[in-house]
Amino acid sequence: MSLVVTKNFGNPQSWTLDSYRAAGGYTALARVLREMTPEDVSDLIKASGLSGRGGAFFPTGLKWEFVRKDPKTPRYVVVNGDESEPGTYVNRYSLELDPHLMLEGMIIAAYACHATLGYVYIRGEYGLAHERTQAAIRDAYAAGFLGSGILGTSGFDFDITFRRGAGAYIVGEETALFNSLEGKRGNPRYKPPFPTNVGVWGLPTAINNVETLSAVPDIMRNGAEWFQDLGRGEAAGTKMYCLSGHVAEPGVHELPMGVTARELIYDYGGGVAGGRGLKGFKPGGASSAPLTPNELDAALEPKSMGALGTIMGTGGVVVFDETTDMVDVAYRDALFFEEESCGFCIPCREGAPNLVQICERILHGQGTMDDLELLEELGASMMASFCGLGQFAHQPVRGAARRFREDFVAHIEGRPIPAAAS
Amino acid sequence: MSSETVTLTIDGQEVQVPRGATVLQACESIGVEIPTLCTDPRLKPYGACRMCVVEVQPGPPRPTASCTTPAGDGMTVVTDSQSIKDIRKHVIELQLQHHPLDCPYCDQAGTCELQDEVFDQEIFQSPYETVPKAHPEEILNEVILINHNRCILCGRCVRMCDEQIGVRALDFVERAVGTFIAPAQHEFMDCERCGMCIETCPVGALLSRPFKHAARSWQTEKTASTCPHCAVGCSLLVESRHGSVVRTRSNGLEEPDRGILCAKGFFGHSFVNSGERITEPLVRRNGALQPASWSEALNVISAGLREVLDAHGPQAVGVVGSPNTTNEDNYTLQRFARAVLGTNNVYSQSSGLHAAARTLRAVLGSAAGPRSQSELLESDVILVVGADIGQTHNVVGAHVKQAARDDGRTLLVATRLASGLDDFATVAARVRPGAEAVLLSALAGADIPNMHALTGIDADTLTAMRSRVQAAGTVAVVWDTGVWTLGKAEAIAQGAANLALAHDGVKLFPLPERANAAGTFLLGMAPDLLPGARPLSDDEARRQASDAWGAPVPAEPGLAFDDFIDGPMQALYVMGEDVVGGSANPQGAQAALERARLVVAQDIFMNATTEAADVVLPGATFAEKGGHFTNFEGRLGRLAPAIPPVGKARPDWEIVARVSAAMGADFGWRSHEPISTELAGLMQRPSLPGSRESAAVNGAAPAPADGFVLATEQHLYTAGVSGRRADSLTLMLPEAVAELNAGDAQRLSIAHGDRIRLSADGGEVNLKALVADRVPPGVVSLPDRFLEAAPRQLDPRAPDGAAVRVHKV
Amino acid sequence: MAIHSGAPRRATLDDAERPKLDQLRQALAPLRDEPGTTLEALYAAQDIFSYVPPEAVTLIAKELRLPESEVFGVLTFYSMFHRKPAAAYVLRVCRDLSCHLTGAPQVLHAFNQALGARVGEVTEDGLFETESVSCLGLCDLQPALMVNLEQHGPMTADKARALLDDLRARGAR
Repeated sequence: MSLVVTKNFGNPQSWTLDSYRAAGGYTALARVLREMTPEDVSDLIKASGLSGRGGAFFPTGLKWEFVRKDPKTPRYVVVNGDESEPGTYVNRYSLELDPHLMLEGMIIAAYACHATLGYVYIRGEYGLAHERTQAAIRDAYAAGFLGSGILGTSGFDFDITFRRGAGAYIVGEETALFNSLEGKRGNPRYKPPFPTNVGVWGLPTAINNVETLSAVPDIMRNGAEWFQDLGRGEAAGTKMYCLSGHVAEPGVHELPMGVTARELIYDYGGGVAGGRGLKGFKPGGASSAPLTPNELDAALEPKSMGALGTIMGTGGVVVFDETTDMVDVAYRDALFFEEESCGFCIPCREGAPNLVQICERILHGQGTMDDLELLEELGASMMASFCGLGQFAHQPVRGAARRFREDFVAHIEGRPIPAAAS
Repeated sequence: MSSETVTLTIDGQEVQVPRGATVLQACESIGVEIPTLCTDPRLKPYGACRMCVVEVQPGPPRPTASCTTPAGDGMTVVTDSQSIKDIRKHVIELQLQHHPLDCPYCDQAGTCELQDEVFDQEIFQSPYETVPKAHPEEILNEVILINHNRCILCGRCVRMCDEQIGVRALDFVERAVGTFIAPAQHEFMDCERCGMCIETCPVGALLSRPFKHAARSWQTEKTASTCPHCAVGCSLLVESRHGSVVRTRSNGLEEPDRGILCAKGFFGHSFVNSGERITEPLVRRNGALQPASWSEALNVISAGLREVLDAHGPQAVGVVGSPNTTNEDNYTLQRFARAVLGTNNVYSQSSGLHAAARTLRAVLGSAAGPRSQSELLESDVILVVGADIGQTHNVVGAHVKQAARDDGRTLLVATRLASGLDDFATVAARVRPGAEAVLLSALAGADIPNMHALTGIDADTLTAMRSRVQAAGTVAVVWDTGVWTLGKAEAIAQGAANLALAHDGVKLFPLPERANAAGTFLLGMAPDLLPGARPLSDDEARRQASDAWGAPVPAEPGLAFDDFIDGPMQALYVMGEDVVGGSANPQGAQAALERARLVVAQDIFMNATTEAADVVLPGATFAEKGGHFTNFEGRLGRLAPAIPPVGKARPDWEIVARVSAAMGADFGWRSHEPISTELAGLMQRPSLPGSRESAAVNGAAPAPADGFVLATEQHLYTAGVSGRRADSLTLMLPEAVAELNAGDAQRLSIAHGDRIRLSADGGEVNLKALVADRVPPGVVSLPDRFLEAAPRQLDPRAPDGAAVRVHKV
Repeated sequence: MAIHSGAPRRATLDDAERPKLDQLRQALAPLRDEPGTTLEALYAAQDIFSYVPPEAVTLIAKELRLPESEVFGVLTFYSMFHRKPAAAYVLRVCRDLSCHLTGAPQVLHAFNQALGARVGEVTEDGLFETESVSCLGLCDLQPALMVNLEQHGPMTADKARALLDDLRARGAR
């Protein structure tokens, strides 16, 4: 299979400009500037089926077209490198090992959007990624890939500012990220208006995930159909999946979008750690509701995951072995969202601590069956939250309580947690 | 269908709203009630409480906040499905986990939006464990406190302070469930004390310290009135109980205040019930003022006036009206003077506005104004010169900030002190006290040699300002006409007029120094004017007045005030003014009063004039009478009695009318309404061409080599005689202080709070020093309008801009 | 602008540290004209003081022409800013799902026991403090931690103790 976004990871000093150019880097940009109009670029991206790898899977080409068509200037391209979803570390790999690939994609995006300004925003904890990405930006400037009259063109100017976060999961939400870029508290903003029209500094903004942009250069080189065909079934392209939890070999794997969890965990992750049985897994980070071994053959892509009542999310697959207490898993998730809620709206700010309390009650043997019902009601109310954090925070807890109801009931009734084997 | 509107269906009902309206507004437009907690019509949509959720098709597959969702064409909205109702109920239940149900002793009870929602959503018990927070109440500053336990984090206080006031003294602190509201660094809140955070708080989290536990909200009588403290003329809701004013609040969103108040409006009412009020007539017996009955006082006055008229004629009698009293009060006094006493010795001491208005009228004619605030705020360029209007006319200042930030107006600031306006300005500069008129002339194009040294403004800054003025279609020039303009009010007005003559789009906005200063001018409270500010020399105007008053108005203008008191004065009737304390020559004025046969002073507090009077009469405050103030725009602000006058006090118009009746001329008035009607009939504005001649203005004195220049402008927390008796305001600024720059203070080894002595040619004064960022180097600032009148002790002739020396005591 | 501006706030910096404010002022100079640099300004303060003292918040607000309340609100929103003097080595131990499942609690316990300090407490030598933090994106190194921004993992209790020795050998920065 062709690798798109991880193809250079094995190259020596892969993060340097020299290494990147030796691997053919920045030739896609050169060709785009020579042969394509901005419309051509967004049309090609649309045809490729590339969609937002941050977990929302919005069609990337369409996003760029919206930005380009908004008359306000300057327009922005913003890289969302605030990867903070528990169980997810794919952007870290890209930024540490191949920042130029992302930059090349970003510059092509700017061309397609008629954008002149850009931000690369990386979460505060990714120190090595900061160093290498900043160096990459410096080197790209020096080589004429950034700045005024890029690659000798007249009229294509693009400048990038590097920014780092300072510890806030919510800033991964695109509008919260704009607030953070503007030096504010990382509260989200309401939508509409959408970022394509009113983004950072109130201006049209294409905000894309690191992984999304990293796929762009090869799509430019090899065409829409090529990328489309890399995915399984209707799903387009590849996806970086990452494994953690009770898995034998944690790590990042670029695989066809739509690979099954069974393949990922057993073929690429070496199965459950210690050869134990599988109790369940999360398909896409903390926000995703956990699935059971019966669902191992479902395709890890947005539609099939949606059909199962969970989400594809970030592709951060977390594995639970047969000894796992799924109430404890739900509790950890609830704690995370309680801590990371920005506190802006009532349902999320006040709801998340109740998720924690309900889990605590059940874990400590003080829960009742009413608590399981309350969980459902609470979840319905949290759906009224201001942004995705609150709208999703209850899903892993409710999902666990539905699919692993036995664990919850066992705690409530004071029985041992049932083990499960795949 | 026009593209200006959209049509949507709400609960089966079709509704058309302007494009850009929110779903919430669409619902409200057809009377569909949507509960909200974080919404305030003064603030931008926010979406934090989630109470206003509805189902929207096409739209996201989840409840959507109606307050932040734009109404779209063809949209279907459901506001009352069971799941929506359940969510609203649940949201309140979640919030109630932490919110204490201490309504019995919460000041907000009865007006609490959360309380109403709990009731409306029929929440009698919660499925969640109640975890009341137990943070102690925190005192934020002299007048504001916060109860974190009750806070629902709707952010209305934060947004009010930011969006409407332009201060942003509060913000959210921490995050998640630990979020709370706090001032900078969670310390003392050094804000403008406007109280608007309290006003907008939907629950009892932000509280007024003066109002705390003063009354239940349903026990107070509410009276719509107008703020008496400055010429903005904000609408007030006066709440009273048992004959006392317990609080004042903002009332409605209309002009001129648009729903906000300043510290004086929100906290400055307690002078009404001050123990220092004059509550009964006083008559001088054996050299001392002693209580007397109304009939005795009226007899003494009428006999005295009759005696003076008989012995010396009407030119020996004069009356002084007041910008602190209503149009009706002043009008009655004027009619009494001109039609009953037969004198044109009619005065009002509000020097700054009168002087400015006369100058502007002489140069620009009747086109000079006054003009509306919306004209000011809609000008392309807004130029603020002189005093910081954020202090003198705070609410206009707040609106100017908003216009600059939200509406794209270019704000140019050339004030003597730094201010919050600077942060919103395209160009902000410090003009040296005394050089304001020169600067205006320079902006009009006059070539001023030695410009930088004189004004403190360098050539580049001047060019930057001038080019923006020249490029603009419309320019509003705004300045306060407060006491600091004494002696230079005409020059500043001439400078502004020069600018208007040089640029067609320039509109002038002199902001009067007191609530009804504009009213006293427009009423013609001057020896040579008549109602409508028509010239006394206008035969038609005189005829109309004579007809209305049933007595001839003398054609001969009265004397200038100083000429009058130093000349023929034998009787003086003063209403709501301190002609001694406010004089440039207090000793001289006092001596003149002592020489007079009869001095009558009616007022609400004793002052140097009442002390020198033969008869003192107890006047009524704004809260105790009806009538009108005329604000800076020429707009009438209505007063209505909220409480009966204290003691034997009476409205000023009534006192004057009773004196008149005692002298045989009964106007027949039993309330202020017929006066309002009568005066309105005489207020035709004259059509005057103006000279349209530019004139050079006096050059400023260069900075003294070894000393300081004095700036004496009104402080936000001082509101003259009444303000100094409003205990909440005096808490904010307990005494007259001298403010100086940190660098200057360091050079003179003066620390914050040290006592210092300021000396000038005219005298010296000893007071507390504050080291303040807002004061530029080489300037020492004294707040005006303290009872002790500190600036004038230095140089009563023209203290502002005077050279002073600063000594550490 | 505050009305009584100039009223000195409670001083928290000692005489030795006050000169660092000048250093901060210089560091802020390039940030002054670029909008949205509040986080960078707070980082600058933290780099100089090891934390963001109140005086730095005041200075940042003044230099960047922002309301001080807003700067304080931003400071308290983001978890990576310290409001008390920080240790030379901040041991950020991930507490989230993958690390929790694979032994993070034992690692944190090992640190705290070896240091004789609780989470958030700076050791007397000023070298160490532990933090229990949200997912660091090091799940392939589970259970993982960061020493300041340096990645470590997979950890065990033994490796945790060995790491402390290594860091002690490195000494204060």
